[in-house]
Amino acid sequence: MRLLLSFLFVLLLNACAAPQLRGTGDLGLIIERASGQVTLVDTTARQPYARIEGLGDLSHASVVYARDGRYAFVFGRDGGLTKIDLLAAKIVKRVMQSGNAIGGSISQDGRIVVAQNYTPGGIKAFDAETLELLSEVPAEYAPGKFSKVVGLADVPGNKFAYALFDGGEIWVSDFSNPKQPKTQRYPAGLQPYDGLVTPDGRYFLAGLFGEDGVALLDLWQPEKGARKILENYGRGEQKLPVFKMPHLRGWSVAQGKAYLPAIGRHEVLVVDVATWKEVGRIPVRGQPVFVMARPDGRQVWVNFAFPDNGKLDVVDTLAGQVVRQMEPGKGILHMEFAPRGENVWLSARDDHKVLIYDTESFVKVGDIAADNPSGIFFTSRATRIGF
Amino acid sequence: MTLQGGLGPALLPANLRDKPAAGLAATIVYGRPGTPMPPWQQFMSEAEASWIVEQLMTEFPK
Repeated sequence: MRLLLSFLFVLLLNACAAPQLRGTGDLGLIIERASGQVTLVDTTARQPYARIEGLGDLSHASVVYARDGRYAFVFGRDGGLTKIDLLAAKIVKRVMQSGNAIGGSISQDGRIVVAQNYTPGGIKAFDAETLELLSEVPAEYAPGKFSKVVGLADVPGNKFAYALFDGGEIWVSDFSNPKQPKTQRYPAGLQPYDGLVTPDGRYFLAGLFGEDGVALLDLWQPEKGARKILENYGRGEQKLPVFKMPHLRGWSVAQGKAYLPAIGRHEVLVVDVATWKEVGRIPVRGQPVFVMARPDGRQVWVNFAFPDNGKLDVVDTLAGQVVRQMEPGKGILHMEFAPRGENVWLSARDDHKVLIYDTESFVKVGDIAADNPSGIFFTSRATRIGF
Repeated sequence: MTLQGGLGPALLPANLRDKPAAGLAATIVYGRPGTPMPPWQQFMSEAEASWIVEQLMTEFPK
């Protein structure tokens, strides 16, 4: 009897002492832009499990993950940089790093977090452990002139590539020595609005707003400089109005092709990644904002700028055309695929919901209440170049 | 919506105070070529644009 009791006691102790272990591969977070909070979610359970407040202005906020998938770095519009522990569901550290920020990135080795800023224009590097400032690169493209920085992406070699909206250049900063970054500059074109690095880390692309085309830099041979592709896709002499800047990221590369938003036009441009020649145009129902491939590359999902921001078009990459048109909700701002793509999560800002769809059947499989949801970020980004 | 600006300038009352209201309304209606500001005339009348300017110059309802 005594033996049994002490055995039970040990069991009880164990239950109290050992926290429940779990991994991070199926976790993520949802930005609630208006209220400065994030909801933490489990993509296996398809449920929220915690909510964290006090992150400041989260309009246009973005997130990168430490490679352990446990820590998320949230870049707020007001310049706030917040490190969140997804397992403990709490803020670990928070700093105000600038006046007006637009996103960030994390280095290949996971040790440096870099923020890209509009005001003052430039990038700043922080120790991923402590968020202590390591160094900064002001985007001073001409004496006394500073540019807004867009399209920041981590690239191999502990480097970061980014574009200067006002300066019209692509810059590559090498943080091998995090306290003394070395920067190379490449002329790119008029008003780059965002950038992406291909999933293999080789090419950096900057979409141009001020002229037709996309600037392309081969990071394996940067000495050749940036060249222009898609130069004549036809936004035209009389520029078409653009109601929301499209977003670029490595998610647009699928099956050897890049699917890029045509700025101002109701089209997705298809480019062969081997030759960088245009190989097709897919008509869609609005000005594309996010053009995102499912992880297997069979589908590309497209959402749109106002006034078409309640619609979604799904392209089948084998057929090369839209195979599904959806109106899932009001103000579809963002989408994120489950790590292997069986589900997609959509934020319907004006419905205050995140909607979860099966990507094969297009049947809704769940929803989560959220206050003005915008970005959705899963930890599967942690191990991808350019995320 | 904090109106603090991003690619474009901030739209807080303090930033707009010295600008003529008619010019601001024209910017909304016709856009500003060479910048990301698009024309909104297909979605609103000049009177509606003037109303927006009026709200911005005082304080936009949250």
